[in-house]
Order: sequence, then C-alpha cells, then structure tokens
Amino acid sequence: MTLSDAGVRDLAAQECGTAWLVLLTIDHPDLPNPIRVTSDGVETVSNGQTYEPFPFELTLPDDVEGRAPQARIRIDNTSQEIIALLRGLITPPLLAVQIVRASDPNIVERRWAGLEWRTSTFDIGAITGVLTIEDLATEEFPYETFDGRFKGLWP
Amino acid sequence: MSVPVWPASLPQRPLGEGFAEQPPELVVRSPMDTGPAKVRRRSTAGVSKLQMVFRLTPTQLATFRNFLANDIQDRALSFSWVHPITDATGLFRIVEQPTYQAIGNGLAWRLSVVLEMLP
Repeated sequence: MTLSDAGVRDLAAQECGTAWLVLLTIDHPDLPNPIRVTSDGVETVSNGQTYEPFPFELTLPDDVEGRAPQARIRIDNTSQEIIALLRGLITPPLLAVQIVRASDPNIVERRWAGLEWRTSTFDIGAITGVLTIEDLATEEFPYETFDGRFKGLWP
Repeated sequence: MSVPVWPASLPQRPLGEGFAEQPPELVVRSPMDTGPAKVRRRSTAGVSKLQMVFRLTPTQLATFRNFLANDIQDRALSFSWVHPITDATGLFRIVEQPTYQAIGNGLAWRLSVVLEMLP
C-alpha cells in the first residue's frame, strides 16, 4: 500500500499542519455493531463511517524474524466499556487499524486488517492487549490433501 | 440524561487574579540534538485547561458544594457552561478537587478550581 502524494509531502515537510489520525475498528460476530474509535479529540468521519474519540495508544505491527507481526494496544478502561465487551467474548475480536490524514480522511494511507486481540491485561486505568495476525507458518500442511488414508507413506 | 448546567446563582465570571488558560497540546516535535525540529499536528482538537478563582458568599458556597456532590457527582460528570473569555458554550469538567479558603472569618469564600474544556 503506497502513501498518497499529499501524504508523502506531509512526511517530508519540515512542518506539517495536517494531523495524522489512527482509526481503530473492533469487530466480532457477537457485537451488534463494530466499535469505531479515533485518536483525534473529535469525531472522525472516514468513508461513511463515524469514529468516536476514545483514549488509546497503539504500537504499530512490527517486523521481527521468526514470528508473525505483533502490535500492541493500550486503551482506556476508566469507563470499563471495552473490558465489559472483552469479558463477554469467547473468541478474540478482530481489529482493523487505519491511518488517515485529518484533511482528507477518506483516503486511507495505511491499513492493517485482521488483527486478532489475543492476550489482555487490565487494571482500573487501562487495558493492554497484544494484537497478532494469523501465523501461516504454523498452519498444518498439506491441509486436506493428505488426510490419513495413505498411512503407509508416512512410517 | 440531561447535562448539568453551571448554577445560575454562582458567579459566571471568575476573578481576574488567578485566572489562567492553557490551550491543548496538539503538535509533536522531534527531540533531536541539532537542526531545526520537525513539527507536525497530532490531532485536530483537544482539551483546554483553565484555572479559575471565584469569590463566593456562604450561600453560593453551599450551592457550589451541592452542585459538586450531586449534579456532577464529585467531578465525574461534565457540565455545560460558557467560556468566561470567549463566551463560547461548551462542556467543562472539574479536574482537581477544588479548594475553599475563608475570607474574613467565613464572611466570604475563595473558591479555586481547575477546569478542562472538552473539544
């Protein structure tokens, strides 16, 4: 995914008056609607979706050899809305992270989708979670091709 | 649920002495040793911090105590008010516990509060 021309100009500039915003979507089949939050102090409308201001910190997915990329999230727990949501889920929620420029929020500069909220720790102030993507390297292979009918091939 | 409103019987303007306002920090600067810093905006709106001092009568102090304890649930809730300088209506929250100081053996009271104005 490449940055827009305006985004490249912003990043290269000595000063940049446009805020770069992080938009977070938390989704799960058990949720009536996805939770959409923005790092801005006011609502952000991007591609027809409204993102509510909510305090959080995000460490973007890394690139470490030997394992799937991981991201970290720290989200406010003062009102305990998010922890109440997490407690009620059996399977991990999926997160999508988008970075947009405040001056043109419909153009997504970077996007990470399909991040699974795996491990969580929380206290009265914040929830910290590790976000991972499905690690294809640990998937069984070949899947459904060898289903045990030819046991003699594998002593 | 309706938003609480700053009581009309309390002063609508703080004393000039002790008033201070700090606009929100909306930019990030690169902390490099040499060369001009790179600066970019981080968000489009934020929280302004205001320090205010009011001179209250004992009756007004009782009103404020009631407002604090019941209307805004000991600072947990925001309330609607008008910015004392810009006259802009907005939502405010009391950040720190207010302090009350007696003036003239309690004939009047000096109320000090730290507020934040929400974007």
